[in-house]
Amino acid sequence: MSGRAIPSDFVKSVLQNGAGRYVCQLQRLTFKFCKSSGGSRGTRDYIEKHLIDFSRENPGTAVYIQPRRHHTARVVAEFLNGNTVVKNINCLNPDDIMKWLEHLRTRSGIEIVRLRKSQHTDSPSIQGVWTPWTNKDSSMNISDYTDKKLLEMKRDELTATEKLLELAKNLREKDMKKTT
Amino acid sequence: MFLKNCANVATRLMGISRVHSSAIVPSSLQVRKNIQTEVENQISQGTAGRLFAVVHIKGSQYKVTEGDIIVLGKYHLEADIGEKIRLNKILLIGSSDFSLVGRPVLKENMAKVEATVIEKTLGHEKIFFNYIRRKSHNRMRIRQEAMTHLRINSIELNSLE
Repeated sequence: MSGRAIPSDFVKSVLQNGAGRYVCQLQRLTFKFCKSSGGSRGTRDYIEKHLIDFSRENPGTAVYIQPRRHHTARVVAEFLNGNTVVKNINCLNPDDIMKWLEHLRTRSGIEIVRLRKSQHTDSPSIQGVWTPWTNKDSSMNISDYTDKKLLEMKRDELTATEKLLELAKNLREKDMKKTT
Repeated sequence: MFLKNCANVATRLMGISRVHSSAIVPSSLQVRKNIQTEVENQISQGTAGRLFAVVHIKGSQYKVTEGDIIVLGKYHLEADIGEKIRLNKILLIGSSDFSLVGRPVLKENMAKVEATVIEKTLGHEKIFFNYIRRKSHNRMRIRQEAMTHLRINSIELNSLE
């Protein structure tokens, strides 16, 4: 797939989250798993050992458990912006499941796409956009552009030629003094 | 720190030309002091307006202002979502009238930039495919990189020292 074919978007947030207070965006988690099949074993272990802790740590998230006979184990995450993410957790061990749940918990629910910019701002420039006339003397406004002073090259140091000429001049002056 | 950057400040506050090197006035101490008091007044009276800052986070520099979102690529911050963090390395802070440049960073009590971790997510699936013709070699790897989204909450400028 070429870069153009990959869906892309700019950085977004849900309802200015974090500008004032922050709200965890994960609303609901639903575990669907089989009570007997081997693929759901890790999920069953996770539910037995760790799910209560997860639920206690995240009181804002509702957790549901739905046994489904002979189905692959999966977790359905619903977010406050209305998006739903389904993650297949079949044949995963409890540690891996924990890792994926952490990913779902820390997400905002906005679809994962290629980001065109790594930054979003509502006020892109505070000092104004730079132009060639920024920070220039206002006398330039009324000056005539055939003015020879403006055409002069501006530099801080003397050129090599000028330095040489000055040296020569100094030497000549010294010689003059000696002779007199 | 401040006096070094006076020329920049002067150009903004007093409309002095930066072009004609012979005409740059702020070499005189009085002009510098005037500018300094002017900036101090703006800070103390709160008339500096909206501020922006250039912050240094893990090898990258970001130009931020209040309310921005920045995405830190390829890693997750240790802070949990919703936690407020302070960005300590401020390279530059500016308003519409002046800019203060650190050498290389501003002193800690001069300015304060705070941010909230709003999201720790993964990037889109990047496909890494390599193929050598006539050698029956092809590999496809799919990677998702970690990303941390920060919301800039406040940029405060307290004093010049």
